[in-house]
Amino acid sequence: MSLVERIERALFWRKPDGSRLRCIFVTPLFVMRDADKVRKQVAQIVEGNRYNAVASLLDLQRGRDYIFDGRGPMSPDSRMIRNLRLVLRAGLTPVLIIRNDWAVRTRQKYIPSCDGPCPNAKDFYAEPKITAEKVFLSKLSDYLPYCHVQLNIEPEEHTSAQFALHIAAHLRNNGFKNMLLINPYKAAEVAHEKCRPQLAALGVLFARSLSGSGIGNDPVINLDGNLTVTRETAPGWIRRLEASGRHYILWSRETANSHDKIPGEYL
Amino acid sequence: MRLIEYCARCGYENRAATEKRVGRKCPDCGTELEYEEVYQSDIDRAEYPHREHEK
Repeated sequence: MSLVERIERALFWRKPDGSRLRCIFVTPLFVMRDADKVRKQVAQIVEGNRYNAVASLLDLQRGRDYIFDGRGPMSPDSRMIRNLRLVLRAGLTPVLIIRNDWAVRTRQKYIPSCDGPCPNAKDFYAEPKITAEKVFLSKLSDYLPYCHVQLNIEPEEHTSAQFALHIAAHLRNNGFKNMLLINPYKAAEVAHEKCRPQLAALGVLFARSLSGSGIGNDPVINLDGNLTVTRETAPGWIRRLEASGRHYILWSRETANSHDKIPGEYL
Repeated sequence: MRLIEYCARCGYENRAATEKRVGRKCPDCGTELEYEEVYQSDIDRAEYPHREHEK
């Protein structure tokens, strides 16, 4: 850790204090090439004074022309760390979505943590990946005390549940105290439900994607992928999220593709 | 104040920079360098984070 980074840690970084998660999901934020745009979006979120956290994918699939690969199979990219520091310096809590199950499920051509495509979803949750993920997380150890971690994003493969359980236990055994979230999908929901007691014992919270107009019963209301969230409906959604008293993650198609400014209606 | 020249990408740093040189590239990775003016007290705080709590 460089001197400047240590100064930033001493002066600006905040450990989450257990307060309610008010999170905006800006899909590419941690992997955007242009640091000035990252700074500006972070400043917008801070000035909006609504959110205390920002979620983004470290393992965002290739396809957007303004991003880089945020990680490899076992290593974070240094530019991703730079962006993470910009978020930390602003006093926000990063929610690290460490792996891209959605990209595996939808057969994306290049998934950074796989260094290519992942033709067989089972491989994404096999033993070599567990080992690799532990190495990857060890390289983020300076930052993890200041972050929440989302262990998966819409996996459909049932073995994803044991994978999440394994990584959650690993993080807790290594002293991780902040929020751990899971967002299983379809068949994987059943598998995660079977592990619910073990997941609960590790303090892992369900944060399943809500595609309709309801807010479900999970402790974290997660609007990931909800196409009903638009500039027009965002103020109403935000009022409902606030009134729920629960943790929440606001996503919209626009925040998923916002390489310039975040539209003010979401802030 | 002390001027630190550093690379936000790879971690290179020069703690004894004398001037901000716009466009200067990192000798290790080629990224444009950034500059930070810091107080010695902040450096002390970063390097000895528990110092203020010492009895």
